[in-house]
Amino acid sequence: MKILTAPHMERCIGCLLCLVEAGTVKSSVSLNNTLIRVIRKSSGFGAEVDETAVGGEAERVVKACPRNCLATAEI
Amino acid sequence: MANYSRQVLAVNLNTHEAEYGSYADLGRNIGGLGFALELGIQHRELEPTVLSIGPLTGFFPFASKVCLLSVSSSGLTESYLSGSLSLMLRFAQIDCLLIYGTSKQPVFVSVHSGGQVDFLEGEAAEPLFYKSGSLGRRSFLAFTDGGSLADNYFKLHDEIGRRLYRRNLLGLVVSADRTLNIAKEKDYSELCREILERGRDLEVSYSNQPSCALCPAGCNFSKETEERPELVLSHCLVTCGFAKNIYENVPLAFACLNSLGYPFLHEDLEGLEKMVAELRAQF
Repeated sequence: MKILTAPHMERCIGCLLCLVEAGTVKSSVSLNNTLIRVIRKSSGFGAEVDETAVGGEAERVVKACPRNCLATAEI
Repeated sequence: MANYSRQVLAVNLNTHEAEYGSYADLGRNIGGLGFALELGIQHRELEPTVLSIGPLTGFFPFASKVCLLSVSSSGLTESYLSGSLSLMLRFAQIDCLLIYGTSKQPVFVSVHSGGQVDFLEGEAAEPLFYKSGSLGRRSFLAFTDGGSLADNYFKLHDEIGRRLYRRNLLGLVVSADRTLNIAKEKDYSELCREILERGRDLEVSYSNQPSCALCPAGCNFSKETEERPELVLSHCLVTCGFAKNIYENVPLAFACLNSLGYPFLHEDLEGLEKMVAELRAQF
């Protein structure tokens, strides 16, 4: 089973395209109930990911990141 | 239609009260700069600071700025702010935030979705202020006399920030938790993809600086304010000025608006320059 991971957050510029993509479900968009939160730190950005996100959902969010910060991992 | 609301939150610093309501009588004014100018004229006697987002904000790449207008007896100051405030205003369902009056004591203002506002009084409220809202779904503005910042990085126009600070407003946070509808999902997805692919048409190079919301560029100018009064369509959409080669294009802007279900016509977009010039002339 594949899950969402955030192994390269040192590359993150905080564009939040992942957050919006994760919150886009059919014909609605939300910043809630998403698979990822991007958090501004004193230096750079961090992420909290929902490790229950699997398969297509996770792949979609990974693809939305323009800096390749995210990935999927087999568990 | 989907997402077509012009929700205004008016924050009265004199009384620490807020009023949230809908403006339905702005005709073909699509939003952003045009909306801010209209509100600035209607409430001129209050000498407000107006923060306004555009109809594409929160949905489309590079629709990432907030239009800031400061109205005073000496005239109008206009600037465009970077960061994530635009996205949070969209998902708080606030098209326009009008701030006026002067607080008797220093105050932090915490804005939640749907126009709920907490006034956190006194400088000692600062730690509470920075705990407001949900992690990752909020945007902070901090005002000082010497230089104000959004998200602890993006610069506010000096004069506008100073003016808010002198009204005893020390900080503003907007938290967002609303769900919004997209009228034509397939058109919307295709347009988003097309616009992202047109990143090469930006007037700046991609870099690794903290970026504005929904902008993959991270350009070396991201922290700066923008003042380019010639960009009328971009400023009504409140898209980045560096994306003018993308958005100063009526057919594309129309397609984006249409995918979200806005009822505007081509003529409305073509008439914006004249409308904005007439509104600006009233100051």
